[in-house]
Amino acid sequence: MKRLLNLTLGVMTAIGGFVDIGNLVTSGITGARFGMSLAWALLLGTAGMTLYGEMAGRVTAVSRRPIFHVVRERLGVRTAMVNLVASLLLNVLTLAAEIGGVGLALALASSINYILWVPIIGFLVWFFIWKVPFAVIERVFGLLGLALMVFVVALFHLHTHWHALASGIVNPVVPSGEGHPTWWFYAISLIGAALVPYQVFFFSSGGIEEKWSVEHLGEMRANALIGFPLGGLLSLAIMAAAVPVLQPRSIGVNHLGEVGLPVIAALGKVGLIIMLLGFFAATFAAAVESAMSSGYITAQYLGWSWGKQVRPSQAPRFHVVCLITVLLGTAFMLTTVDPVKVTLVSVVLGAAAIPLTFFPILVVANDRRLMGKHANGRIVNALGFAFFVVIVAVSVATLPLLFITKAGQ
Amino acid sequence: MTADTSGWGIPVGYANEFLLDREILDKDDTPVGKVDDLDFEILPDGSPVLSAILCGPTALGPRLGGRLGTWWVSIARRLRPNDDPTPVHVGIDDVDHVDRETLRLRITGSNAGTLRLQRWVDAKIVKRIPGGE
Amino acid sequence: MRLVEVIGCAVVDAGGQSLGEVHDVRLVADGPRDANGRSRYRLDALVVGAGGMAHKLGYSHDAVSGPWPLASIFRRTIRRSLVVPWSEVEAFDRPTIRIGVRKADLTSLADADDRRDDT
Repeated sequence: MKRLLNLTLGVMTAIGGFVDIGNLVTSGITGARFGMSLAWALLLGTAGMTLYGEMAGRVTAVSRRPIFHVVRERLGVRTAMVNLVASLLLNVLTLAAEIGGVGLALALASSINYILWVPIIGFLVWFFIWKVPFAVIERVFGLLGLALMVFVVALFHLHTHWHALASGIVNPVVPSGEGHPTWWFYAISLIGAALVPYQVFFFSSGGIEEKWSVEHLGEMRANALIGFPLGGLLSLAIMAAAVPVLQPRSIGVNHLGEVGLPVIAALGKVGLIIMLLGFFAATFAAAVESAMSSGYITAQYLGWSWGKQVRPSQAPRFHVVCLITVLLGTAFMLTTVDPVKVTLVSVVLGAAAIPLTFFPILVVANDRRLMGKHANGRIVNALGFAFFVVIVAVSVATLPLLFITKAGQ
Repeated sequence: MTADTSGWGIPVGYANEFLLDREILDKDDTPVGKVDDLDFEILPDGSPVLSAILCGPTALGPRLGGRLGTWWVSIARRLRPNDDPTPVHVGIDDVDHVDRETLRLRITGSNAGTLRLQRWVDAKIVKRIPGGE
Repeated sequence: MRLVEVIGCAVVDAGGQSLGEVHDVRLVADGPRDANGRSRYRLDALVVGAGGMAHKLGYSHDAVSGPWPLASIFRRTIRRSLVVPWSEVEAFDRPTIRIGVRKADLTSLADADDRRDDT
């Protein structure tokens, strides 16, 4: 009975933890602009993250080491360094976007300009990494993030044309008035919002913090195979809710508040409060996780001690890297750059960089000396390879589309 | 398969496959670095035998190679100008166990000499922040 | 002698033909006993030529056999890796290593008998 409770808690945490500013913004924007015609991209990204998340989790639990060690061991110091630097830069960008998201949520709740919240949030993010136990961060914020289910509730209270929604998902058509390159750009942004590099590294390192082993495979699988897809469905609900409210009026999403209009329209003030709680929890947790992810991968590349399982003075370099990441992200947001733009660029660049992370995972998951009977089976390999080809194609298309569409204009 | 009398558990292997880039753990399971390079002693009959594991930025720099490698080494030297520029040597006698994922030592990290940066960061930064003990 | 001084060196055979660069070394624990009674690892052979990435990934060993398209491509490059016994090294002037045998007399990494899966 206790195991079932623990399992359920883990799954619910994974659902709430899956959604961050990237999912909120991309789902809201695409729902408003393209209806459900990009739902396929969201589902594709979610499927990929589920597949590779389970693979990364399995490698972590069986080898009892975080996956970034594998990156250096299998790709060599130079290629792994490219991966490290790219991921570190991306993490700063992601962290900045998440801090912006937290700031916007607090601004909506308090009418105090988001910029004034930024330094406070930066400090809080660092403080949580420094002092708050790992399990508390995971559980509390993961569960609070479930408040975003208010979007699902809103869907049932709005004039949702379920039939049109379904046909939009199954028969994607580029809406008239929108260019194809822009449509594809946003498709990539949805895929990237589901496949953020920091999430894979955090899932794996977090597993080691929680001392995963072969006994935890079931629990890990529940998190990845149930939690992530449900998180994807939650993002889908956010996209769908935008359709009846924003699309008919051609309301674009340029501000996080606009993502929330459907909830306000359907459920009024109560809905708004619950939604803001969800926004806050999802983005704050993601901010903490992306900063910690930088500490994790740097320490794992160079062989430093890391993690919250030991006292700060036993992993000082890990904490310093987290601190520097938070400072850089906070400083970047203080330049008053637009949080929505930063979010879009970060998810798109993340999509471009993800093949370098997924490749060693796919290879190592096949190593029978390491994985024994837990090595990839034929189906997982077929899906894994097919998806890998897709993300390489996405990676190649990203930069040209980014420039052609001027980041989704 | 002939019996393994070497005492190592892995009697034959390729450096890239079981030794290089692996994590080094001390006898308390604390990470002390990565296997950045290997040092060989040439015996009188001309055969090179493994004599030490090399660890640290001055060992990693040359493996990175090119301009990046030179830059890596010079940054490390600048951070610790008073230290000996040669990398940390962990003699093969101090190695307890090798498997394909980690290398375990018989001694503690502080004795291996790999934790100088960690202690510097700890003293100068971490201990100055409240709660840093 | 550091390993980094060996890896990357260009190997030339007895006929003057270039065989590629060293990307790995084979270690055999049959050297003199150390202070703990174990045989020290002796550098037994150089691994030269294409296939360095495939080998580091693990594709030179039977244990990594999937996914099928990647294994297929990478195993092909492993075929082109040659194992050069250290005893055949005649001259070592960085960055070139001259050996005393011809390419045709060398075995491919793919045929080395320590690459089989005996688990």
